[in-house]
Amino acid sequence: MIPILIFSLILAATLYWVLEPLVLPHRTELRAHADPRADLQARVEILLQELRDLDLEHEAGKMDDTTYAQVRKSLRAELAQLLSELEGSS
Amino acid sequence: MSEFGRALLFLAFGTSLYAFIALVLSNLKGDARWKESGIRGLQATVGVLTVASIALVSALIRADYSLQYVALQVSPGMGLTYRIAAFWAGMDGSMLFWSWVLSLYILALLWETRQERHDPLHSWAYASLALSLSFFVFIAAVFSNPFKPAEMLVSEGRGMNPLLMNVWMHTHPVALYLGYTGLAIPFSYAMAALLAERVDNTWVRFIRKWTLIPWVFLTIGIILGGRWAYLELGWGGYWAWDPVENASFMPWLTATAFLHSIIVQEKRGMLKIWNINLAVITFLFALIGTYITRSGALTSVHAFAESELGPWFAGAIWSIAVVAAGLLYMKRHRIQSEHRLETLFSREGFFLINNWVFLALALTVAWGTLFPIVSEAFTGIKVTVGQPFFNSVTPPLFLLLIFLMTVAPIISWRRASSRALVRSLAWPTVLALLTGGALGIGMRAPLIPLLGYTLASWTVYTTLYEVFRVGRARARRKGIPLFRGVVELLRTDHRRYGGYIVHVGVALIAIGIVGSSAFRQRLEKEYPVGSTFSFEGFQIAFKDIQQGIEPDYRYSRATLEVTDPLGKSRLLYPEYRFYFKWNMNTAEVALWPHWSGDFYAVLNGYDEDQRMGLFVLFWNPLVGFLWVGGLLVVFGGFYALLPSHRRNRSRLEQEQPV
Repeated sequence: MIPILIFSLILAATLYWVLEPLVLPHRTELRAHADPRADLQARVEILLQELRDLDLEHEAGKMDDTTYAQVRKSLRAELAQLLSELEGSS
Repeated sequence: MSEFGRALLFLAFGTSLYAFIALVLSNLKGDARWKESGIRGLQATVGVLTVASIALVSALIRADYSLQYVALQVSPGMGLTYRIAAFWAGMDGSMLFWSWVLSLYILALLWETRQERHDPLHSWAYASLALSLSFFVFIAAVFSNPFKPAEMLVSEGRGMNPLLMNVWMHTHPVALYLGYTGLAIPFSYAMAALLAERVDNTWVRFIRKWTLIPWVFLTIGIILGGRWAYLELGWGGYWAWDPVENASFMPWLTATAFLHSIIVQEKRGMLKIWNINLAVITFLFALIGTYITRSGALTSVHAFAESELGPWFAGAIWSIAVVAAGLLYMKRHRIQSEHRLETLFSREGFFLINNWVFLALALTVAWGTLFPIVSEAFTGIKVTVGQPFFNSVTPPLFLLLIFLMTVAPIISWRRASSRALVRSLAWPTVLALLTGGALGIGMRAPLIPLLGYTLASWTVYTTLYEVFRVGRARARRKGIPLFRGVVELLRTDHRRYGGYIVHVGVALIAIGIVGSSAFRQRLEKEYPVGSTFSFEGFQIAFKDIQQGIEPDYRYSRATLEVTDPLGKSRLLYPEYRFYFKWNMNTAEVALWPHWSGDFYAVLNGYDEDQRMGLFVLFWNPLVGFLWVGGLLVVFGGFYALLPSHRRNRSRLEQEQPV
C-alpha cells in the first residue's frame, strides 16, 4: 500500500511539474536568445590570444622575423575584418 | 518493491520520451511553452531515476532477496561498500546506473545553459539527449529490469563475482560510465549544430569542456582498469587487447582526436564537417563499447554481464549513423570552411595528420575487436585475431602519434619556419638520442622499443624545453625571475599547458609500456616449502604456507622472503583462493615496486601432499612510469579544464587597426 501511495505522489508531482507550462503559460518566461555577435566576439578574443602567443614565440626565438611579420600581418588583417563585422552588426 | 521500481522505470521512460517530443515540437513551432515543458520533462526524469536508484541501492544494502538482481549480486558476507557497488556490477543494475549518470549530466548541462535555453543550438541538443536517455531507460525498463522479482526465494544470495570484489570495483566502472555517457553531449551538440544550422564555431567552443570532462573520466577508467587487471587477474600484465578494454579505448582515441581538431576549428574556422563526424563516431564507439560489454557477442575476460540486448544496440548504432549521415548530407551546403589549409607544415596541418592517425588507430582497434562478429557473419565461424594482430599493427601508429605529439605543439599556426623548428628541437633531440642510446645499450633493446624510448624521451625534453624558452621570454619581457615567468606562463593558458602535461604523461606511459612489454621476464615453476631460488637478481626464500577457510572461499597463502639485488629484504604473501559458490580460482598478487620495475609474485596452486607451491614470478621493468604517466594525464586533463587568466582588452586597444 505504501509503495502505491508513494508512486502516486511521485506521478502527480511529475505530471504537475511537466505539464504546468502548458496549462499555465503566463508563468513561462521567454528568455532572450543568444547574442548573435557572440561568435564574432569569441573569434576576436581568439585572434588577440594568437597575437599574444605569436609575439611571445617570436621573442623566444621560435619564429624567424620574416615569417613572424607575415603571420602577424595576416592576423591583424583578420582582426580588422572581424572588428568591422562586429561594428556593422551592432 | 518490484512493482514500485518497475513503475518508476516506466515513468522515467515516459517523461524522457515526452521531453524529446516536446522539445522537437518547440523547436519546429518556436513555442516556448513546449520548450519549458520539455525541459521540465528532462528534470523530472532525473528525479524519477534518482528515486529508482535509491530504491535499488536500498534493496542491495538490505539484501532484499525478493529481487532477482539482489539475489544474484549480494551475499551475506559482503560489506556495505560492495553492496553499493553491486548497483553497477551486474547487467541490469548497470543499465539503470548508466541512465541515471546520463540524466545527471543532462541536469548539469541544463544548469550551465540556464540563461541560453531558448537558443536553438541548446534546445536541439536537449532533444537529442532526451532521445538518448529514453533509449537507455527503455532498455532498463523492458529488457534489463533490476527490479525483476526473484524466480525463487533464497535465504542468501550468490554475491558478486570474486574478480570484482576489490577496491577497483568502487571506482573503475563509475569512471568508465562517466566517460561513456558524457560523450552523448558532444554528439548531441553536433546534431544540434546541424539541425539549428549553427555549424559556426559556437558549438565547438561550448562543447570543449563537455568533451574534456568525459575524456578525463574515460582516461581514469582506462588507467584504473589497467591497474585492476594488473593486480587482480594475476597474469603480470595490464592490457591484453581484450574486447572490453578495446571498447573503452576506441572512443578515447576519437575523443582525443576531437579535442585536438576543435582547436583547429576555433582558431582557423576549418575542419567543420570533420568535427561533426568525429563527435558522431566517438558516440558510436561508446555505444559499440556498450554493445560489446553488454551483448555477449564477444568473449572477454572482463565480460561480467551478458544479455540479449545486442539487436537493440545494433539498431541504435545503425540508426544514429544513418540519421547523422543524412543530416550531414542535407546540410552540407551550409558548412563552409573559413580558411584553406595553406600548408601541412603548420600546426593545423600536424593536427590534421594527428587526427588521421588517431582515427586509423581507432578503426584498426575496431577491426581487430569486431573481427569475430564480422567473420561469423560471412563464414559462420568466429575467428579471433588476438594480441598478435594488435601488437604488430598498432606500434608504428603509436610511434607516429608520439612524433606528432612532440612536434605539433611547438610548430606555428598557419606557416612554420623550418629553421626555427630545428632550433626548438636541437637540444631535446640530442638529449633524447643520449637517453635512448643509454637505455638501448643498457637493456639491449631491439629497434621498435629503442625507437619508443627515444621518441618518448624526446617528447618529454621538447615539451619541457618549450615551456622553459617561452617562460624565459616572458620573464625577460616583464623583468621577472625565470621561475616566476614559467609559473605565470602556465597560468595564462590552462588549456594549452594542460595539454602539455598530458603529453608528458603519455610519453611516460609509453616508456612504461615499452619497458614492461619488451623486457618483461617470467618464471613459472614449482618449489617446495623451505626452498630458496633466484630470479632476475632477486633471492627468494619460500618460508611457509598457511591454509584456511573464509565464509566464501578457501585459501593458501605463501610467505616469501624476497631480497632485491641491492640487498633489501621484504616479506611477500601471494595467495591462491577457491570460491565455493562460483567454483572459481583466483590469485591475490604480491607486489614489490621498485623505481626500475616491479617484482610480481603469484601463487597459482599448492600441492598439499608434496608441500609444493606453483609460483609465477614476473619482473616488469619501468612499469611504474605507466602509472605515474597516467596520473599526469589525468592531472593535465583537469588542469586544462580550469579557466585561463587572459587580459585581452588592453591587447585589443594595442592592436586596433589604424
